[in-house]
Amino acid sequence: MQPNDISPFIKATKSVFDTMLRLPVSFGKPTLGQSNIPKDWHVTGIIGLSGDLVGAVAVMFPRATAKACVEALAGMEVDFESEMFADAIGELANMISGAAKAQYDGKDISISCPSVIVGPGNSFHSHSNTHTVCIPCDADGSSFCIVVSLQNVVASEAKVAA
Amino acid sequence: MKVLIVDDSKTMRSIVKNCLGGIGYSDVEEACDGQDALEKVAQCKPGLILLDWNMPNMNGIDFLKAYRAKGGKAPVVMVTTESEKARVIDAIRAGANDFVVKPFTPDVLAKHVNRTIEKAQAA
Repeated sequence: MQPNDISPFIKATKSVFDTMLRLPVSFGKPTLGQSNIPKDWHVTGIIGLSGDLVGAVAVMFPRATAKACVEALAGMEVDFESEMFADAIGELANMISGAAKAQYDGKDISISCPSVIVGPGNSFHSHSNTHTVCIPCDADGSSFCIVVSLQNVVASEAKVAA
Repeated sequence: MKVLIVDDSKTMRSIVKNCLGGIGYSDVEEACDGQDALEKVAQCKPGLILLDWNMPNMNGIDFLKAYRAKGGKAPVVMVTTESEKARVIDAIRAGANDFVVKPFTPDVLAKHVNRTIEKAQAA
């Protein structure tokens, strides 16, 4: 995985949170592999990538963080069980992936419509021929993470200063 | 003036609708994809269309091509994450008048909406 393969997702996440949620976001050290991906969080928004970059991006939240982020985006109270809740998580994943995609200048990349999983204990498992990086994030004191899982890249180079 | 917001995300339609209300455009119709939008434009004859790109059933560009092919004249502002140069060129060729990249602030959306309407009225 090339260094520049991760930094677009960090920049995109910061841009989306600054602009649309008006929440300060900071980043921990990205880690390779799936061992640091949380397994007990409630909400995951997933976008598939195809074309010159193949894989998936997942935005994973504990329940309380997801609710805070959804309400910051929507500008109103949103019930955890409502259709609007999953829709907002999907739109967050969509904007982060889309804003990251735009930074891969000259590459032809398509993103899928979002899928959203809401429920306790969901976990992320990537295909064996992908390299996966977990980017820990903090939005105004609440943890969440971005998981980027990409094919055909060199994993050993995924050391990106957040 | 009636504004048609076309986006598969209910959340995004709500955000855009609030932005429009803030600059005096409260007569808003919503469509959830390109197919739905083709039906809505025939019914509500919008003066402005705000159009997402990636949507199920029919995407924004296919809607735009179909709308222009049928003689649709309302100005169209793309509101999308698709911001690469090639995509912008594709959209302009298909008949888009302006482009707002997600994420956006209310001020940026307002500026593009007002500018697009002013240009359309001057033409």
